Amino acid sequence: MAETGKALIKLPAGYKKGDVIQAQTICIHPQDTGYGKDKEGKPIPAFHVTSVEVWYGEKKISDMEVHGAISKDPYISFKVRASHSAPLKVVWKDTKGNVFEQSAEIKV
Amino acid sequence: MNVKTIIAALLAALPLAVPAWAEETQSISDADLALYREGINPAEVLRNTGGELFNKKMGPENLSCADCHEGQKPKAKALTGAAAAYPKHNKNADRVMSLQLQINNCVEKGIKAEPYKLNSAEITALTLYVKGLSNGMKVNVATNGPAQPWYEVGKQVYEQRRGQRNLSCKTCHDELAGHTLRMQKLASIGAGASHWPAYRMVNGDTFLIEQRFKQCMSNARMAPLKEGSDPMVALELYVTSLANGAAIETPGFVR
Repeated sequence: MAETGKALIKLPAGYKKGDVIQAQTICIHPQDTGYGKDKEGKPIPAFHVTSVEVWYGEKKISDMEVHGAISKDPYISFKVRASHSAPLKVVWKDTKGNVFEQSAEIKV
Repeated sequence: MNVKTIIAALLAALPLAVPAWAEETQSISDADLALYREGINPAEVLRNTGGELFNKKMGPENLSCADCHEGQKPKAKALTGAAAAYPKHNKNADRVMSLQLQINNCVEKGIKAEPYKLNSAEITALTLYVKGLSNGMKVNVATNGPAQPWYEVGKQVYEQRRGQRNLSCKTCHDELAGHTLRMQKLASIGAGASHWPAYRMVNGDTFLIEQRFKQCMSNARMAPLKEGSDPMVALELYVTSLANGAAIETPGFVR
């Protein structure tokens, strides 16, 4: 029900400089594979996330390739070392060319 | 050893072979469920949308919910803990109102804007947000006074057998609770209402408790009651009153 492209990043509380923290991200997306059919029997075109990029400040720290096999509302969790204060930005791109962004501030 | 003996031996060994997780009402293991709970509940994204709607200016006077409920207007009343008492009797409307009906009532009478549809994502988001303000508090629904006739009706709706399969809510969730239906244990209703609205993994979506009732009713081959209708609100009142005293924990995360 939630709108496609709404995203959320969660960081743990109470970390210090140099700690490795677990970041969690979710992006609301239908993740249609292209193989499904609707109620009238017409095929549902593929509509899924193709890439997820993680930026820590000015630096790209991760680049992930995502396919239709990832389930609805893709949830991605990764570890990052909190070395300096900077925004952690996650960028989702999908098959229709949409770009969704969400960022959370890492403060040390 | 003939086949019959083997089958008998297998049957005798069966109760011992039931894994520990089968005792739970969830059809996935505790370890898997813990993994899911560790992650982000997708309903939290919808709750954030609810927060945006709460601050959205609407209507002829350009008011938002937050304008009145966060202290700037004279009639202001903080909503922290308010949702714990819903469904609640409303004097002006002379009926019991569920939280979503109350929100719509506020939108219509207070803000003078178009109320939301009761099965829209917007009302789910707003209800989730407002109920989230009472997280950690105890459900405290009044079943006496003006709400009592509604409670009685709700109890009757809960116990009334109807539909093609001649089932009532009570049949499965009370009399047969603990038995297995389609690979999962039937849960007794208990304090279940305290974690709704919830995200359902099977549907991959967030639902209000009344929408869940509707799904349950169509599975049981009953004509689903309409959201916001008198018997539906009465049923919500009855089921929520069973959760009285339990801590509110929204958004829930259920199978």
